[in-house]
Amino acid sequence: MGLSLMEYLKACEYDILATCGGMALCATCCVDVLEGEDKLNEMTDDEYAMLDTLPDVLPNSRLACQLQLNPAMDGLVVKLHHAE
Amino acid sequence: MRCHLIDYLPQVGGQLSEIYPKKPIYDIPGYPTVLAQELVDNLVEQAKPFHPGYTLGERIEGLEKRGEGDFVLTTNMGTIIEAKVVVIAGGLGCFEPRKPAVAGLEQFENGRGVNYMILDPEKYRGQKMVIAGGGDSALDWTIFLADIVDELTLVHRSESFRGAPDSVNKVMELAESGKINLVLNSNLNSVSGNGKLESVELIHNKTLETNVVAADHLIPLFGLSPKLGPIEQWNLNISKSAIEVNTDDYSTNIPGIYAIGDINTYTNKLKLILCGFHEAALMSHSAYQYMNPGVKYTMKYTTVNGVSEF
Repeated sequence: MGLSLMEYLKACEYDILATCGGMALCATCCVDVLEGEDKLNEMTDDEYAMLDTLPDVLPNSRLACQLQLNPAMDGLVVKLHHAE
Repeated sequence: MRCHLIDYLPQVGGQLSEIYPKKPIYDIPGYPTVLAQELVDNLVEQAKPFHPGYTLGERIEGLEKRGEGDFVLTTNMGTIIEAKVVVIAGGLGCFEPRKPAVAGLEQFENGRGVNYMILDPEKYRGQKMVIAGGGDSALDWTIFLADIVDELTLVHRSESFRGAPDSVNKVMELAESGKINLVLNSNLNSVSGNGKLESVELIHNKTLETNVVAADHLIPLFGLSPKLGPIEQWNLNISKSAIEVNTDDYSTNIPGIYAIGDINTYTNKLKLILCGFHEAALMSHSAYQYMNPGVKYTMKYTTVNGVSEF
């Protein structure tokens, strides 16, 4: 079982809530992908439905808990969506 | 010890009932697997003999101590609760609704037309309503309220819904039969009214065409996000949005106030339900001693003595 981007960001103590623990049920781990969007796994319906509930979602927003880290993601740059 | 539970959500259970009621949990001792809502229901049942009180749908805003005496808690609805001990089991924080970025929305909050949760559906009978959102909450409330309100407009930013298929179908049927107005690919643009909400302007997010809908009520349903909220104002020692506690009894820096569950922090803290249970047990014994100083306490086991109803 590998790490999701959310789990890695939490382990590195970034300010990311991840209320639901990684089940695509809360959207608090939303990130905006600045570079490397094409390297990511496709969005599932569950992820889309949850992102859709955010009033300020961007076209490049993804849920970090749904992105499984793998070597192909090298070069990915993201910004925490809820960062002030 | 009589307990009274106050929560901003309209139901008990915190994250379990709000975020993942149908998800199985595998790490509750004695339950190889248990659905989150089932665990909450069991806990409510277990607490019944002790007749706890509940104030739901209200948020504690003020917390003060009367000299050396009781604590006085005040909610956002003006409810006042007095207690000898306060236990904060706030999880990751108060679930606050995500608000859309619409200028002037706040002036219509607090009873003037804009609400972020529905506590009493009967309040909307015969009224004109706009619901904004695309998740299960928006779909479920649209289906329920379509029969109660005079007019209902559901506005959603996308072309389609990704909620539970049954709910999506029912909403589409309601739209086709003319029972509701369904406005897709659109967002809330502005709100207006004279002291009270009178209309909502919607904007198509591609054509930028606007459309004004008469409305007595606007309910944006964009999910909830936890925030520490008023807890930050109570002079508690806070570290990274969690309340620091003494692991002897999970008391905070203010005598008589405890913090248990995900809301607290200490060395080697684990955010597990199991840990919340353990912390609650130690806290309870300490709270009893705090409220009954000098009283000799004897522990009794439920296996020996059963449960004595209050």
